[in-house]
Amino acid sequence: MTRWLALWIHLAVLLLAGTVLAQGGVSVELSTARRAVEVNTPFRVTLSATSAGDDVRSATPTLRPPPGITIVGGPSVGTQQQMTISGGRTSMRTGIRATWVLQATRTGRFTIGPALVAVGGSQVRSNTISVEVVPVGQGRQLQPRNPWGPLMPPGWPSPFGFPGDPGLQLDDEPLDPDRLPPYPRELATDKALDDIAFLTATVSPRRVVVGEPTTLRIVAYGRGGRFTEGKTTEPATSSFVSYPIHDTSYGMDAYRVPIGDQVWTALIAREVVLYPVDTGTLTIGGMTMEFLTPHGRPYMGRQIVRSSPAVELVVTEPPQAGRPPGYVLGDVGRFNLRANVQPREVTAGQAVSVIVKVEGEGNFPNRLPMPQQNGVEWLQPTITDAVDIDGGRLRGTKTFSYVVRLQKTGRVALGQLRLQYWDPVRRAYESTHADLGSVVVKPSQESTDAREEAVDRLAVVTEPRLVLGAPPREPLRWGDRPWFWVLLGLGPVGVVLVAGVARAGLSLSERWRVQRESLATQVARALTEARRSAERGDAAATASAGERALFSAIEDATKIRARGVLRDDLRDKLLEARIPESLAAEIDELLAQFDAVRFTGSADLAPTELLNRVQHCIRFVKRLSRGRGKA
Amino acid sequence: MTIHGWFATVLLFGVFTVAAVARAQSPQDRFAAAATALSEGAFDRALGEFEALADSGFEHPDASYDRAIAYIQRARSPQEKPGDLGRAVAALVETLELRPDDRQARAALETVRHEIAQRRIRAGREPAVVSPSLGRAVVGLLDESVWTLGALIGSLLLSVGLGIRWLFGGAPIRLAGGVTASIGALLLVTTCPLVAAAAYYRTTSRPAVVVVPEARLLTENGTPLDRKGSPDAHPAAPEGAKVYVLDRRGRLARIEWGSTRAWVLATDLRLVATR
Repeated sequence: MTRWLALWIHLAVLLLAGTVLAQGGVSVELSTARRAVEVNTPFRVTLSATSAGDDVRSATPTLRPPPGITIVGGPSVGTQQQMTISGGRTSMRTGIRATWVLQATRTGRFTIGPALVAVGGSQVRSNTISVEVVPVGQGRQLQPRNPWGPLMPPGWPSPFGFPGDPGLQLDDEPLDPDRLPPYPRELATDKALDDIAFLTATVSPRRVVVGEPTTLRIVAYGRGGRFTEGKTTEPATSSFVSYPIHDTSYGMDAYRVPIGDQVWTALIAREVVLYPVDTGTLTIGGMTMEFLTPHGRPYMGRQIVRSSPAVELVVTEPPQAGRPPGYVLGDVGRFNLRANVQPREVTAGQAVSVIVKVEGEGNFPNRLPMPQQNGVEWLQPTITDAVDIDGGRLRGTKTFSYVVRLQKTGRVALGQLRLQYWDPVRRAYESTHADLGSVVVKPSQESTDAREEAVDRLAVVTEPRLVLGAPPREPLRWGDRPWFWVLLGLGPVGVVLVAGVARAGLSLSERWRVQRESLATQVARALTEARRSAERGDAAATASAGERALFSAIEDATKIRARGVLRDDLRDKLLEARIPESLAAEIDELLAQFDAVRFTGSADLAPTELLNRVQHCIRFVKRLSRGRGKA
Repeated sequence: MTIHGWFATVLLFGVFTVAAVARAQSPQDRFAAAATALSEGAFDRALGEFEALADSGFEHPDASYDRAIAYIQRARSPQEKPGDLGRAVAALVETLELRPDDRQARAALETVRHEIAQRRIRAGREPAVVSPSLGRAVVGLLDESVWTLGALIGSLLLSVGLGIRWLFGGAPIRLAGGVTASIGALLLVTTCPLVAAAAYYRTTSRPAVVVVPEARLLTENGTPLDRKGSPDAHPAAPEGAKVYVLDRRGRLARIEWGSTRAWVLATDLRLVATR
C-alpha cells in the first residue's frame, strides 16, 4: 500500500514538474518518419526537446519501447537550434535531438513512448506515437512520400530537421544478450578500450618459425552504431610477406557485440596472413583508422581517429636438430612435387623443357635445388604462381619452368629433384621429391666437329716442362718504399743545393771584399797605420797615413773627395758642406802640417800629437756625419 | 758403449732420417714427380701434386705452367670439370706474372683463351672481352722494374746535366749539360707517375682469374648488379677473365674487371701468385 502511494506521489510530482517546465517553455516531441514499418526492419524514432534557455542542452533522453519492439541503436544525441520569426519578433530555441533505431519483432500496432527527458533534476514526458508493423514486403506501399523525392540523393538527411543518419546512435540501453543476433566469435572482447570507438589487433599464433603463417586481425568497434573507415594508415609489416584476406572494411558485415553491459558495433577492419622472413621478436605496427558514418560524415558528430596497439610475435628458425642438407630457411608448409620433362630425346646442344609444379599450402619455395652435372645446363626458370589465400592459408600451385640445355651425349639421367621443408603441423622436417628421369641425347654432327676442333686447338699446349728453369728474378719494386723516392730526388736536389751553397759563398766573399774596401774601413786602416808610425816616431809616415785617414773620413761624411780638391779650395768646400768653420780651419791647418812634414821632414808637432789631432778631427767629422744622418 | 753413446747414436740416426725424408720431399722433387706423371698422361695425380705444391707456397713459373698443362689435359678428357680451362688460364697468368718474358706460356694463354671464347660462342653467349682500365693498360706496358730503372736513370741524368752546367763555363759543355738535364727531367717526370701507379696497383689489388663458367657480378649485398643503363654491360665475368681483387668481405670479393667494379663470389676466383 505504501509503495503504491509513493508511486502515485512520484507520478504526480513528475506530471506537475513537466507541466511547469512545459509552461516555462520546454517543448518535447517524439516523432517518426514512418508510421508503417516492416517486421524486423529498423526504423528511427526522434525525440526533439527545445526551450528558450539553455536548460535542455544537458538533458538526458530515455525511451522504453513496448514489448515486440527493441532498440537496436541509439540514442544518438545532438544539439539543435531553432529560430522563429513571427509578427516581426525573432525568438531562438535551443535543445537536443535524440534518435533511436527500433526494430519490431512481430506485426501489429504499437504505441511508442512517451520518451522522458531529464531536465535539471526533473523529467519531462513526450507525446506517444503509433506505428503499424506489417509483414515483410508490405511496408513500401505504406511509406509516406518524401516531398524532396528526386531532389535529394539517397540517404541524405531530410531537410526538415531529421538527423537522417543511422550512425548517430548510442546503445545505452541495458543489454539483453538473448535479443542480439549471433556474431563471429573473433569479434568478442571482454573490455572496451575506449568510450566511443577503438581498434583491437590480434595475431595468431604468436610463436612461429620463419615461413610459418600467422594471421593478423584488426577489429574496429564503435558505440554509435554502424560506421565505415575514413583515412587509414596500414599496419607496418616490414618483416613479413603479407597476403590479405580482407584488405578493407568496406563491405564487411557489422555485428552487434556485447562488451560489458553495452552493445557495440564491430567489424573486421583488416585480416592478413603474414609469413615472417626474419627471426626474433617481431613487431607489427598499429593501424590508424578514422571512424565515419556510413554516409561519410564524422562519427558521432566529431572526428574520431583510433589506432590499434602494436603486437609482437616471436619468430624462430626451425630446429637445427634433424635439419636435412639442402633445406632453405623459409620453406615451410606441406608440399608435393610433380615434374614433367619434354621431349625425352634430343640431339646434343638442344634443350628440353622441365616443368616442376609445387603443390600444397604454406610459404612456397622461391627456388628449387636442381640436380647439377656436367653437360647439363639449367637456365633460369620462369616462375608462375597460382596460389591464393584459402581458409587463412596460402594454397595452390607454384610452377617452375626450366629450359635445360644438354651437351653430353648418350642417355643422360637428369636425377632427382628433392625439396626439403618444415611441416608446422607435424613440427618436423619433411621432404618431397620428383624423379626427372633420363633424356637420350644424340650426338650432332656440328658438335662432334666442334669438339674435335677444340681438342685439336688445345693439343698444342700439352707438353709439360720436366725441369725447373731459372727461378724468377727479384724485380725492382721500390715504388712503395720511401727511400726510393728520396734517392730519386737526392741527385738533382743535391746538385742544386751544392750549386746554391757555392754561389752563396762566393757572394758572401765578394760582399766581404767590398766591405773591406769601404771608406770607414779605409779610415780605420789608415789610422792603424798612422798609429804604428807614430809609435815608431816616423813623422812623415804618420802624416801620410793620417792624411789618408782624414781624406777618407771627409769623403765618408760629406761625399767630398778631398784628395782631388785644391787645398786652397778645400776650406770653402767644407764650409759648403756645412762643416763648422772651426773644424774646417782645424782640418786645413792639419793638412798644412802634413804637407810640411812630408816636404820638409820637420813639423811643429810630434808624430803622436799629429795622430791625436787627426783622430780628433776624424771623431768630429764622424759625429757630424752621424748627426746629419739622424736629422 | 755407455748410455750416452747409445743416445747420441740414435739421435744422429734420427737426424739423418729426417734430413733424408725432407730431401726426398723437397719441392723440386715433388715437381719432378708431378711433371713425370703429367708427361705420362696421369693428369689427375699430377694435378693433386701441383695444387699441393702451390698450397705449400712453392712459386715457380714452370710449376705454374705444368699445372696449366694438367688442367688443359683434363679439359680435353671425358673427366673434364667445369672451370678447368679457367684454372688453366689462372696458372698461365701466374707463369707470366713470375716470368713475364715466357713466350711459350703467353702463346698457351692465348690458345686457351681462344678456346674459352669459342666455347662461349658455341653455347650462344658473348665472348665478353673486356679491356683493362686505362691506368692499368699504361702501367702494364712494361714491368714495374723497367719504370723503376727509368726513374733512376732520369734522376741520374738530371743530376749530371745540372752539375755540368754549373761546373763548366764553356758554352758547348754547358749546352751538353742542359740537354742531358732536359732528357733526365723528361724521363723522371714520365716514369715517376708510372712507378707510383704500379706500386699502388701492386699494393692495393691482386690479380685473379675467373675459374667458373661465369662469375655473376653482384652488389655489395650479394644481389645481381643492375647494369641495364650501361651500354657495354655484362652481367657476369666469363671463365678465364683476368680481374683484380680489391677487397674481400665474407664470401664476396670486390673486383675490378676492365672499368667495372663489382662483387663476385670469392669461390669463383683463383688468386694468382706474383713476384
